[in-house]
This record gives sequence, structure tokens and C-alpha cells, in this order.
Amino acid sequence: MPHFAIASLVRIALRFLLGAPRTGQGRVRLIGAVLGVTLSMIPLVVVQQVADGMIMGIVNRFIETGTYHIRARSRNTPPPEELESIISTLSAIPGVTTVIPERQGFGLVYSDTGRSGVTLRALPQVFWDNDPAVRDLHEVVAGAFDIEQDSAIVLGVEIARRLAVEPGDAVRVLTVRPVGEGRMLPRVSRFTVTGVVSTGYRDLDRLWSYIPRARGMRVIPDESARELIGIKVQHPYQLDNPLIRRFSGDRAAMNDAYRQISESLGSEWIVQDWYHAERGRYISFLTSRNLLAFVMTLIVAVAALNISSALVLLSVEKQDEIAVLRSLGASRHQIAGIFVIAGSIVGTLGAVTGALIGVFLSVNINPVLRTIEVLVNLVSRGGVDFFDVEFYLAEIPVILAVQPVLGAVASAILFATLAALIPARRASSVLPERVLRNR
Amino acid sequence: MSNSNGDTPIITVTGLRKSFPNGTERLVVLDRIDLTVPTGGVVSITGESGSGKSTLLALIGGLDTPDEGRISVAGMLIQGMSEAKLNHFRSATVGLIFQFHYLLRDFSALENVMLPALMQGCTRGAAQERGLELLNQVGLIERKNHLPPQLSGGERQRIAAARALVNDPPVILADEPTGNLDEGNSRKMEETLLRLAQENGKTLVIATHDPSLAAAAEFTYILERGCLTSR
Repeated sequence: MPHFAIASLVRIALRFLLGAPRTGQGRVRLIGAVLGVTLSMIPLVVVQQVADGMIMGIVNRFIETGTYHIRARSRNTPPPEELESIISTLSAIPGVTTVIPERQGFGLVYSDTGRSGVTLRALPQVFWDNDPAVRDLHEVVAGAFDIEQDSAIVLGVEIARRLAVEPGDAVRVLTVRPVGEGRMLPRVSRFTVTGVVSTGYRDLDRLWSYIPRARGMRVIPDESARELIGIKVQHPYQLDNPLIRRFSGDRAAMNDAYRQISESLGSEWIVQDWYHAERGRYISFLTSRNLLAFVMTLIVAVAALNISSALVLLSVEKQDEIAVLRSLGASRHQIAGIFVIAGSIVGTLGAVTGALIGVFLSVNINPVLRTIEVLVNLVSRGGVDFFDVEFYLAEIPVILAVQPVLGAVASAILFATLAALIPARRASSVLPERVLRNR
Repeated sequence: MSNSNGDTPIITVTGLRKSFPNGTERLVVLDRIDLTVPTGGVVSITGESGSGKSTLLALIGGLDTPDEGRISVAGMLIQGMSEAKLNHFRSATVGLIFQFHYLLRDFSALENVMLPALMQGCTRGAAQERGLELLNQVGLIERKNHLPPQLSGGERQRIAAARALVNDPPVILADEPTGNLDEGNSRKMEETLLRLAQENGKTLVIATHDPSLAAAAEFTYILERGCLTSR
């Protein structure tokens, strides 16, 4: 049974696509088809990487500065000595790195010039001192993160701006205690601003104010307080979640730590990992990311159709040569194989080129956007700010993920190969007797 | 019509009939043709344009199927062959030379000659060695890297002849091999064909208008009104 070695099929496919060496005849055709895939791959890869970077950036800020990796909420306020015992038990669990007691409540912070509704976070100073991730993800805009003194308060930068205060200024915090029958008992507490911080995430910067835990126990009434224990572990992204699966780490060990924490705390506490603590928010991230990927993949699929039409044209152009090959003994499958390989070659070239450009743009997305911003502002005479902190993050964090890029490349090659099936079928239907009709 | 010089026949055609649609009727091009070609023989088939010479060669070469009759080449009955076997037959048992060279324009002379060998599953090295040997035989070794558009009509036809021989098929079918060539190139092609057939021990069946080429054959047949007669 005669068979073309794959190498021969590849050689013929390349020659069909490129023309003879040094003639450049087929270059335009090839470049056109490759360019279609390349141009569709670039946004797919950039969107993938940037969306992942944005999600990572936001999630990282949330879990390191706010929701912790694992959060335990008490149904009742535990006595201090019991809380101490729980903290030391949890700290001894393998994989646990930090355990912080936190009391949260709502309040109105006001100064002579403004006011702002905030989430009061009553914490021990070790929240800042003992956790490098907390320090890394907070920028101290003014003063210091100092909540050692009973009257100290550290404000989010947006709150400080709204209140027009700076370290050393006095602010008042209004909290209310429900006393039944819909009545509220207000309480005003005086604090001195010791620091102004930014998480880099505007939503958080206008929400969080930090006060000493001991003061929080008095200021935030039990009726409206949320008593919780924030726990951090060695590999938070190994905890069960569908959002972020990259990064190495012992998944079993982390899930085992989670199980031990739940068992230690018993039924008085509601234990949630970071994903389930903010599930609604993360599901919306996940849905947005998947939807974007789907739309971008559709664009790649449409580009693959472009390959199909280019190869159909090629099959029409090469009909006589196909008939000659058939008359020399080439089978239908071999002819179809030439066109499927041609589609794969175009798809591979386009996908790899597009992925490389996409990765380059993704890694440099911040300077690229700044350059575009400058150019747009030159043309439009100002007013455009891609990095306005209103849009989530002051800078897009990019952590290159190879696996999704490889997946996108594989999908593009698959689409291109599938798209080549139509011209392949058409080409393989050319009969050898066609050579007789062309005399 | 049969012919035998006592050698084992390599081609046996019996009761061959072929017609084509012609409006509402069918035009009979070949009507109950019988032909026997001895192994190693050189046979020419002449006849007017449209007399069915090319059709007869296409049927023997497995490019087309007859309405009736049997064709046996090198002991293989073409009728009823599976497509895969027919592909193999076209690749390994017959070498085809057409009136138009039908070289692939994006492939060099050597690559064109190598193609049928590669299709046979031959390694690139072996195909190249055989291709160079044949280009040497047709006197075009120095043109091995030239593309078809860079070659003259006569050179292209000689390369097509080399291509027909690359898989060492026992039978060469040449359909008007000098039909597109001037007198000088026609004689050169004639000499090349006959020499190649003789040197390589091939059976050569030529359909031709060319009286000189027809006369050079051992056996000459005339195809007229669908019937084959010996001259």
C-alpha cells in the first residue's frame, strides 16, 4: 500500500502554501491567512492574561488585607480568655501561618469638613506587624499604621480625602446600639488619625478604617458586631476554589488544615475559605472571565474560517496539480492530508505568532496602556485616564500564566485544522481523469 | 485485434467499450477493442484527433473506467480494483506521460521526478538517488534544481518521462508525448523515450499523431471509428 510519509505531505503542503523557494509566489496568500489567526490570538491572550491579572490582583488584596484565607465567624462574642485559647490552638495547626482576631462593625466617621460611612475593623497591632503580605499590599500614604494607642485610628485614603484629615487630626466615630422596638442609641467616640493607607483598590480605600481591638470591643456594640478570626495559611490558592488554580503547593495539606480548623472551632463558629466567604463576588469574576474567553475564542474560530476560505481558493487554484498527483497514485486521503496539514501550518504559525505578541503585550500592558493614553491625550487634548483608580486597580497586575496561553494556541490550531477539513474534502474529490480534460 | 510475438503479454485488453454522454445519446469512442501487448514491446497507437487514443491509454492506466470489457496489466485485472489498489497500480505498475508535461510548477525538476517515489513510501534519500539517476539518463542532470517555468518544452517532457520511470513500473503509457514539441525536440523526446524503454526494459505504449514516432514502434495500431486495427 503506497503511503506518503508525513514529511512528504508537509513538504507538499508548504510548497502549495509558499510556492517554490525564493519565488515568493505564495507568500501573500500565506501571510493573509496567518495574519487572520495572529490578529485574533492577540486579544485572546491579552484578555486572558489581563483578566487573570486583574482577578488575581483583586483577590489577593481581598484575602490578604480583608477576608483572610480562612475566616471563622462566631455566632456569639466569645470571652477573651476563650478566644486566646482558640487562637493558640489554631496557630498550632500545620500550614497555618497567622491567626488574627477581628471585630467588625459599621460606623460614621466625621470631621469638621466631611463624613463617611465606614467599616470599622478592630484589630491588634500584630495584624500589621506580623504579616508581610498585609504590609506589602498597603501603601502608607501618610503617618504610620499604628493602632497601639487606644485613641488611634488609621483611615483608608479615600476616607481621609473625604474628611480632609491627616495624621494628628481628630475625627469622631458614630456607632449605634439597637435598643429594641426600632430605636437606636448613638455613641460618639473620639479618635486621632495616626495613619492613612491605601490598598490600591478604591472600593476598599473608602470603606476600611482600622482601630485598636480593645477600643473596638467598646465602640462597636455586640448587637451589630461581627466577631471573627482571620486565618492565613501557607498556600491559600490550594484551598478548594474554581477561580485560581495556578501556583504550586500542597493541596491536600491545605484542605487538611481547613478541616482541622473547622473541627477545632466546632459548631459555634462558621468557617469559610476565602472563595466561599465572598462567593458572589468571585462567581461574577469567574463568569466575566469565562464569557470573555468564550467571546475571544469565537473570534479565533471566525479567523479559522478565513483559513478555510483561503484553502478553498488554494484547492481551486491547484486542481490540475491535485489531478496530476492523483494520476501518479496519490490517494484521496493523501490529498486531504496535504490540505489539513496546510491548515495546521497556517494555524500554528498564526497561533504561535499571536500568542508571542499577546504575551509581550500582556507582560507590558501597563506601559503599553500608558503609551496609548499619552497618544490618545495628544490627539484628544487630554481627559483620558486609563489608570483612574475608579477602575478597580491603580496598576494592572500581570502574572504570566503559561497554561491558558498553551490552551489558546492549541484551540487555534484545532480550529484551523478543523477549518481545513472543508477544503481538504473538496481537494480530495478531484478525480485523476481531470488530467485528460485539460489537454 | 491481438498481437503476440510469443512473449508473455503484459497488457491484455478484451472487448473494451467506452462511451461518453453526448446530449441525450452516448458517443461510443471505443467499441469492443482487443489488444495484447507483449512484455518489453513498443506499441504505437495512431488515429485522428478524437479517435479515442487518449481514452484507451487512460483506461489502461486506470484513470478512467470502461463501460464493458476487461483490462489486465502485469497480471492485474483493473476492473473491480479497490480505490486503494488502483492508487497503487497508478503509482507502481504504470508510468504516465501526458501531452502536456503536467509537472508541478512549484517543484524543481528533481522534486517532480521524486514525487511518485515519495508517494510510494520511498525514503527521501532513495527517491533522490533514483531521481538523479533518471535525470542523468534523460540528459538533464544539470537542470535538476530548475523549476518547470525555467525549462524548455522539450526539457519538461523529458523530465515527465523520467518521472514516469521513477517507481520502475513495467509499463510506460505515453499520450502524445511529442504533441506539443517542435520537430527538433520531438526527435529528441522520441530518442529519449525509446532509449529509456530499452535501457530499463519497459513496455512502451504510445498514442501519437507523430508518424516518425509511430514508425519507431515495433507494433503500430490505428484507432478509427472506435475500432483498433493493426497496420
